[in-house]
Amino acid sequence: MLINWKLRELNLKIVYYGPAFSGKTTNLIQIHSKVDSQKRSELISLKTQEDRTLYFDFLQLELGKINGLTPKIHLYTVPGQANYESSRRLVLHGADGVVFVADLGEDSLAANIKAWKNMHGHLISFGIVPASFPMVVQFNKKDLPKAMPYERVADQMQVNGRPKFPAAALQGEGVQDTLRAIIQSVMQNITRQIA
Amino acid sequence: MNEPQEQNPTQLMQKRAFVTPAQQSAIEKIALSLKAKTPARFILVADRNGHVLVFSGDGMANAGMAELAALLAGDLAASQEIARLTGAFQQQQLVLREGEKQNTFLCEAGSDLVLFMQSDSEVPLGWARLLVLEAGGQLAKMQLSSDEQEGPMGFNGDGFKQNLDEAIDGLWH
Repeated sequence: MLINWKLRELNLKIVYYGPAFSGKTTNLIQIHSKVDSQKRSELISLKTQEDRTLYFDFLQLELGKINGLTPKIHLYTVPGQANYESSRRLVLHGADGVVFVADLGEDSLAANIKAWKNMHGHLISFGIVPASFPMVVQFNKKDLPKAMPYERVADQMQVNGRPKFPAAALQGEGVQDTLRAIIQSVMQNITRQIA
Repeated sequence: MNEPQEQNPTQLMQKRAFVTPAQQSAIEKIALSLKAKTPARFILVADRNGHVLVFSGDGMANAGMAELAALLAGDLAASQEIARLTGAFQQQQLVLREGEKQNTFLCEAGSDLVLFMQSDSEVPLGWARLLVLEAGGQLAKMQLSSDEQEGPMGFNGDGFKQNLDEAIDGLWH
């Protein structure tokens, strides 16, 4: 978070984290396509030749003036592939909130749990207490024919009291609700800290 | 999963940064002075998370500043990680890209800031590098505060939460 008193700007960083192919980039593509172009930046994607996220995707949202303050929301994704651990850590650093995108595909439970634990490990190493850190969980691909019930995945991951959003991001379902929830959660956290 | 349940405010406060009006003015002065002295085509100062503080110049018509700052911060973070992994890490690292028509400099400016400059290739490389490192050093001395210094920002103002919710809903077509 960066607050610029002279410009009256509040800059926030929200990171979409999760296992490979869970739909992190799809979330940003949907947001980019549905937000008024005056209120967003271009979508930047650093990809491999195989069209997979190599480093990060980036999209900035501008909420306009609210009570004389201009919040700018920076959305990032991390690369999901196993061998990009260093990149994930770099992107996650400095985040004000996280959207964890879990995959409801029947073979994805272990990958979800591994990424979830891995993310917690990084947050703790940054000196952040995960239990009090703004975080929401999106359970994506609910539209798959053999999708696991999201409640079961949430239990296995020990998501506990985190806000949960079943989604079909490719169709845009759940994307907006997830984004709204994480922005609200981040703002509540900031309000608690400094208002 | 073992996870501390108690919030440690000190830990959470470490990652927030405030730029005071005086600091913002000083950053603008350093950046504009560097641009004039070099002379540079373009200057940008951002924080290490890619939030833009100052930019000035032309020739960037196709680049949004938010996107550029995010990429620069990512570029520097990756360069530093490469340096760390290969045992070549040093403070105030400078990444130089020498081009046929332009040279670009990406400089770590302390623990908080990133300085980017683009100059024409006619500008002597050593001169530009010297000035970038000097400006980076000046910026590095400007420690951003993690304490609120300028009073409340309006988070508790009338209807802030409702106005925020409306702004979020207003994002969508």
